[in-house]
Amino acid sequence: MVITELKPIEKIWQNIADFRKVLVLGCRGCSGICSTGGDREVKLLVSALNLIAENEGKNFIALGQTLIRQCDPVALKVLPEFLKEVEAVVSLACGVGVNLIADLYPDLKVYPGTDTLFIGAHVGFGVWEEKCRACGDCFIDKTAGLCPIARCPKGLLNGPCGGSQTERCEVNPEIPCVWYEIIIRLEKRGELASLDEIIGPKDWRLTFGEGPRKRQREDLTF
Amino acid sequence: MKGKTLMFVCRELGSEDGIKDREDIVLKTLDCAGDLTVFEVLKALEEGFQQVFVVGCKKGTCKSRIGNLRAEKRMATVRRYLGKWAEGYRLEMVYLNKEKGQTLLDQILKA
Repeated sequence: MVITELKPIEKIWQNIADFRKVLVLGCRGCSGICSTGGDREVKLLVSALNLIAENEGKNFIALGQTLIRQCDPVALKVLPEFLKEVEAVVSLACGVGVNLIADLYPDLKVYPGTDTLFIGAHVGFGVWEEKCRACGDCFIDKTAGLCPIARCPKGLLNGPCGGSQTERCEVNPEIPCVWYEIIIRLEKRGELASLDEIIGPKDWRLTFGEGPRKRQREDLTF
Repeated sequence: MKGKTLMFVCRELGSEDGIKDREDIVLKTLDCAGDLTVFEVLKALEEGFQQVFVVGCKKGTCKSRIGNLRAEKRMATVRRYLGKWAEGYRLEMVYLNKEKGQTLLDQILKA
């Protein structure tokens, strides 16, 4: 899922302080799951903003709504119903949601309420770790399912590097060396020989090459 | 204490002595301090309370093991949601032992 974090409230307030009616828009997708922008967080932010407005002596009201997703035009179709007299929207979705709202409703002032951090997994209560960089050229079939692009600070395609010591990463000793883990796992799977083959250079054009990436499936489009 | 005060107190700490007669203090008893929600505290501030105390059992003595620690984290979340505006309120987590001979209020104010 896409991991997000609530922006400092001062930054959120800075964007909306001059409006009188603001909609805080939550997302029950990734943002809701990682406790940044679900129903509960919408309720808390609405309450906090109303309190701040009172402290600042502003004629301001924040309202809250949560959509099942903000990264889908179908889910965003209902948005105009919530916008009566609303002057701005604070989206608690990831950056995708904010972008799509801005694309679909060009006249609406939409501001991000979160910072989008990475694509990751929930690995323990309140802990998320990056597992994928969405590079567009996946080769984790060769690395026992562990991605060195996302999990090795050097992004080495053929590792480990010379600095890896005592199974830890030399760049960040807090994390294990993912190449050490790859080798141990391949050995257990009897697939260590697959590393005899050098993994060739990646096609980074799929990541950075031609601006925003687009995928169109012919079998689903008309 | 200035303004209205709301005290969320763990049931284990018992008595309302010294509090129930004070018009400026509202007491809410929780089965455990860990039952406190962030929203309840924000709502209380919206309703005009200037001070919110959460009173839990001393660390290591919570019957729910970490209810008191959960309450402390929730108070930290309240502060995070309010940012610099939290400074305008008194938001306190207090850890107490049930002590004989002292009213709950005396203990809270002393802590």
